[in-house]
Amino acid sequence: MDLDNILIQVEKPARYTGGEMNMVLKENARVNFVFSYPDTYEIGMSHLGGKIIYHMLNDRKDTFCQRVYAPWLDMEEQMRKHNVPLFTLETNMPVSQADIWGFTLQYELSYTNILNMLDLAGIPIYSKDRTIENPIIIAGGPCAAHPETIAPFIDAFLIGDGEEILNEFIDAFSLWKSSGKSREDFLLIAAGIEGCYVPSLYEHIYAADGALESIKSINKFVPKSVKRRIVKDFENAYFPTNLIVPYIETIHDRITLEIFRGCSRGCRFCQAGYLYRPVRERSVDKLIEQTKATAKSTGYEEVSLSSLSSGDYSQLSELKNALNCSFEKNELSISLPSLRIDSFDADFVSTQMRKGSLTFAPEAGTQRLRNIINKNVTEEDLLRTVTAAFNAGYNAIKLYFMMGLPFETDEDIKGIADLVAKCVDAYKNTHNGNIRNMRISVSTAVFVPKPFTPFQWCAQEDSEVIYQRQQMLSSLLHRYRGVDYRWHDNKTSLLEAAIARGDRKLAEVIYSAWQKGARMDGWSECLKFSIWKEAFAEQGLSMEQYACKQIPIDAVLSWDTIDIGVSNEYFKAEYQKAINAETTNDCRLGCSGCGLQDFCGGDCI
Amino acid sequence: MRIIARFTKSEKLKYISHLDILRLFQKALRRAAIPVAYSGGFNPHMNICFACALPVGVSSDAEYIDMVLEEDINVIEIPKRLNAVLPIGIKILGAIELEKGFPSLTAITSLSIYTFYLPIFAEMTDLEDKLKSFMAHEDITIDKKSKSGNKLVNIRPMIHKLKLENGIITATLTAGNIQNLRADVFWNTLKAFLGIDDFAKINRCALYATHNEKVFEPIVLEGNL
Repeated sequence: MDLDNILIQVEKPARYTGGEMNMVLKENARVNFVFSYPDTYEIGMSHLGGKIIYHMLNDRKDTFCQRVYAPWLDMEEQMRKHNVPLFTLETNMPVSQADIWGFTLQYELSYTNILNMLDLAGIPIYSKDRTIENPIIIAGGPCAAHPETIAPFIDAFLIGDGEEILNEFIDAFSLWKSSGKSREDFLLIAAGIEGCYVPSLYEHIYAADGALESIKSINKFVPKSVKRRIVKDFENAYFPTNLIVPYIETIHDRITLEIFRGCSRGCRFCQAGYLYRPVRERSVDKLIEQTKATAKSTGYEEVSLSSLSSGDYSQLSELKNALNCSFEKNELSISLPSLRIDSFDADFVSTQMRKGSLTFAPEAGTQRLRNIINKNVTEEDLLRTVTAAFNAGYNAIKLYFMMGLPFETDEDIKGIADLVAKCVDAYKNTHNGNIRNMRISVSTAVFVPKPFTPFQWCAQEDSEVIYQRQQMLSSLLHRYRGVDYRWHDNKTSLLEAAIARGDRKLAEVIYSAWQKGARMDGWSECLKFSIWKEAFAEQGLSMEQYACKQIPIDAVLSWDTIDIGVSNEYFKAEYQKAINAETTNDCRLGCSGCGLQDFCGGDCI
Repeated sequence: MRIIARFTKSEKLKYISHLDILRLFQKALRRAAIPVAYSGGFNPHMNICFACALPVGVSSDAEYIDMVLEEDINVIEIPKRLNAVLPIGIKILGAIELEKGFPSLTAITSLSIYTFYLPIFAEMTDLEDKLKSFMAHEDITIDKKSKSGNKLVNIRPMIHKLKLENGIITATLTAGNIQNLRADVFWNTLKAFLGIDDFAKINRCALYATHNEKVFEPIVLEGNL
């Protein structure tokens, strides 16, 4: 394929040419796998899960895993103009020639990109229209746990940790490949793998009013529910050290070390907190070994200690000391994302990190609301932490809050402003009253109720109310010099909420929105909201009916087929506690009975 | 210790920008454990630079990296160690040691030779004549884009030689810090004159420097060019 005439005309052509350090090339593999993150190269190449899958599959002798990311709008235009099919970075192979094509679902607003990529590859968009000539289309990642809105497009979803199930899936594929059996036969075989959900084997039945009435599997051999896969031996789970080093700068252009998986906090709004349970830590020795090997094979000078809440790693100071002992000064810098206010390590901040800005997420403005969402931090925690940061020489902090949380009132918004005022005072106290260099950035995101959380039944706040509260907070914060306030567009959040809790009927909406030109919806400059409105209306539906309506607590949920191990009874109990503004302990301080112990068949911590 | 090395940039990697190649070399030098000196100051960076930026979309057999090492090493080690860690598509062809005070290659680069190839050249019977008539112009003024806005520039004095051989056009163009005619800018001008619209395969095959009135290739490859 001669791509010169195309590549010279697009922005950042290196997004499409591969050839990076540590890229894998292979000949005559039995299974040709293509992995996609349905967004740009820069975002896709920053995703840790994709790196694990890429190198793990390429370590198999029988499998060649290649990559393709979503072409940016300019590239899509050129590809369509010149009839160039979607191709892989490794060998420029048309993706239609793959055996299996896997997508990671990190974000609902990437779904139109999946449809677009299938189309650019010349593969039928609907699963039912595919033949033995087409690749098997699979998807995993967090959104695969509530996949009904894209169920008609995907042949099989792999639920939970990918390390084991993906290998089992490829083993099964490899056996089937030479069996001469049909595609349908393979999908039946795949449905027998624990954690593999084949949506075409389930029928969704709706009542006259459009509500989901029941879900039936098409025959008795198909499991009633699909259990999330959990890697138990996380210490020894596959972890790549020969990472691809991109040429162009990506979002996270550094070594990402996964220090633990899961989170024990139980914040009620956070899907990841439930979806990745239980907490599984890696040992310091293992992490040092991985860092040394990765630094050697990549030349990176920065390592990020990554997890859902890195300050909670039980051996954090041991790990920092060990890293400092293993590397000479200036050889490796350490960054610690996802800092919690109450596990913040002022000592670490003052000695290790660059003097940029620090980000904290109190999430809500009053203790009442923080109790409701089970964000177990207090105002004292925040003020102690920001004071420590200011004392350590930081002049800039960022504070993240959510807006439109369940049971939120105007008082909670005023609470945000009060909290900010106290941070300003803390700065004054540490700088003799001089706030000339102080920068406090406050930002609010609109709360999106997500499946598999205690708030899965809650309505998203009405757009009008959100707008009023944004204006209110803006005017309350206006009086402070050095404080700026930014808010996220609530159109994006409305669409995200509608798709996140949507049912199979939304597949037609997504298809129609894509046909009308919806692409890269997660990019605010690309989101065409009117197209989506139209696409919903065409099906007699609306975003608000999915996003802004309270779901009855006993309703059949479109994601009921998936069993993540945390019971619905637990979510109901947690929801009741939220109503009473009661908190729940961190799992590490004692089990609160979420159901995972039974699911794992024993202790989960 | 002062070292320069000559390297290639293949067809596959021609879309990687100058800045990204710099980042690549920073990582590769670390992986290869070559003791590059760091600049002092608040934000230390590696003491390396390139002779002459290559436009995106152009491959090359004549890229040069200029570096200062903290410790002396055998210069033969440079290609060996770097080639072991560089991606396919970038290959160190040779390295030599320079005296400490020798001016930077960036400062003395003066000429760059490029080849241009398109399959249709073979079918154009009048191509050679057209190139001659192109060169017969005394003034070839183009609208040159720069950071400070567009500027009219006569590029004819920067085109030293233009020839056709075996269906490949070779051009010798001014290169360097003070005056520089980019290969893509030149090609856009020439192709408009020739009345074609395709993007040619462009390759930099040699780079020359001028120092003490001597014009020379910093590292000469044996047996070709």
